[in-house]
Amino acid sequence: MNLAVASGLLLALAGCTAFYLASPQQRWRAAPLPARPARFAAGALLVAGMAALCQALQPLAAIYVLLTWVMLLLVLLPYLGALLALRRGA
Amino acid sequence: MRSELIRIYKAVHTWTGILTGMALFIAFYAGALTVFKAPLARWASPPALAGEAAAVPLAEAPALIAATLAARPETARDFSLNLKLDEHQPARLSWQVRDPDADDHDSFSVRHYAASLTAEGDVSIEEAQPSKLAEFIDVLHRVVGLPADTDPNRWFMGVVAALYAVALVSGVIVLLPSLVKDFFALRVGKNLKRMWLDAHNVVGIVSLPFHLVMAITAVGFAYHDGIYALQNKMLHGGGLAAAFSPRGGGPQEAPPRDPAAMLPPAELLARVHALSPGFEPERLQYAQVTGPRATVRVWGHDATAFSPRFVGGFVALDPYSGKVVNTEYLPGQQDAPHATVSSLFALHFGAFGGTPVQWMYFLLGMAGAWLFYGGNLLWIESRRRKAPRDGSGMPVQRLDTRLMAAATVGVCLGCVCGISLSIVAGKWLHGQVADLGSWHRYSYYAAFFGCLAWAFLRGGARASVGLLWLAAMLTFAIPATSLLGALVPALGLWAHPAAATLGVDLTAAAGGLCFVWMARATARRVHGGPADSVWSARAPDAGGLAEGAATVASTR
Repeated sequence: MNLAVASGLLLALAGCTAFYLASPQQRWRAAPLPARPARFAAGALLVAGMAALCQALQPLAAIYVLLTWVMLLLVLLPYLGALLALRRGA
Repeated sequence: MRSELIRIYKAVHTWTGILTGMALFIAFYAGALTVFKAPLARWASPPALAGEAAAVPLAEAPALIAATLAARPETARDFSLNLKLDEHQPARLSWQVRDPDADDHDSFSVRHYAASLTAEGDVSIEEAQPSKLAEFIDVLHRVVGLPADTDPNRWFMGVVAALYAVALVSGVIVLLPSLVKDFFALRVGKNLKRMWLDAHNVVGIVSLPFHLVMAITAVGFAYHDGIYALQNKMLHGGGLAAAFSPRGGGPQEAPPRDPAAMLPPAELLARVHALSPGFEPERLQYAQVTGPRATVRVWGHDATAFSPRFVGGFVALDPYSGKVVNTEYLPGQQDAPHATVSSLFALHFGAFGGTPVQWMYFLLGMAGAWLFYGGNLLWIESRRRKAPRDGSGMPVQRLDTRLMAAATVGVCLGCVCGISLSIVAGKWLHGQVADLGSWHRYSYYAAFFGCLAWAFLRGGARASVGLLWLAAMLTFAIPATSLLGALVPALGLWAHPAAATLGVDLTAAAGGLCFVWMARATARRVHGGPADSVWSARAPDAGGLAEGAATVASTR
């Protein structure tokens, strides 16, 4: 995989994780991250991810890749949270 | 008033979901696999295909073309020069002959031919028998589990897709009041209805754009032939095809041209490279090469851009002069109107971003299948009759919930088992049956209807465990077949060493493990969970339809 694409996907992963952890419904941590800073960081990471993707892809293709990746991550993160909660016996 | 509106939309969502959910499960499960259509086709292609035909180097392609056209002049209408040779497409030059009586979308009636050069320089033409496994799974995807891609089946799929769009919109409206508060909520606990609702909502809301694109484009795919025909008649006076032809306006009557005067493929490829350095050509599709409108479409992909079609995009050239005649479908070089329409295709097929996006689409497709399966579970759980707390007896579950449980298990696991069996049959039945393409269908529907009948015979709860184990075994049989092929070649099986085909085996092995996990979890629920549910084997009405009806009658 192209390095710029890999970097973009990793940055977006970090951004989506921050966004999820800022939610009151997150199940990874005992308490959610402070909402404003975490959401700001999530936004910044997603913008950085988009910028990295644009190094390897044309803008429209980069937008489609980012949107697809974000959708998948935001589906998976709550399921992982539920799995963690189950394992902890919550 | 507001709650009344929500109630109406909830009813709309429930009915559209129930009517289409199982068909959409099949479309999404098969669709997720179709993302990897090429690796599946390669996995199922026997090594015998990769014979002498692969040996013709590109430099000798002009001689191959000339010899083929001399032997089969009718081929001048449409043939392909393949640049990427693999297990599924080993021949340098190939063409297809369609049955004039068959439906335009009927790929099963297409006959495939391949040409190669012998050591003496003579042309050798053979009818090829490419695997139709991947195409069959794609047909299941395109027409929601029906056996053939015909007009009526596509129209039916279009209705399903339209109802799916209505279900999406109504579902969002129902969720609006609690959307922000419950975003990301997936509450696992004793309230099963809450859990299934959350599990359904998380997938539905977060991947809503993906699903909207799928629904809208599927409606378009279902009816575009009719729309084009109407447009042709009403707006273009029957001249639509000419209006969109890359070579429109040329002389109709002209002496036949000599294909030997065409530019060599390497020269054509050089012109394409100069036009778009990032474009990676994979196939040269020649059309009407002896006529005045001779064209060669150079198909391929551009890793930096989205592709207008599942198989990529193309640039059209005049094969005699090398002049570029059409770039409207060239990835990354389309004008705004073409890029807009192509985006819809690309977003449906995941035709951008290469292998990482293919995996994302695979997982989103599987998540979509889960969305519809989970929707049915939610419907059943919402109508569950719970045992009174005073322990005064076990209620009999509603007949409609028991039927829905059996149908959900039978259809969904029937589809899973059918597809796995059909894949395995691709290797075991090769050389054993005359028409392997039809046997893919027979094996799929035998498993599908067998599972469905079993689910109604045994009831959803009791059938689910056995059918999940069957799904696991049949899915494990995919890599096991390849392993046998590698270890015991005398069996007539095979295993290709390519990463793509190994990926099919590894993915199937992972899928088999998932089904084992699900079978064990379901067994715990069926045998040890609360008995006041259609999902309990200890429920008084846990048997099949006939047994259940007798129980209901006796309790009245």
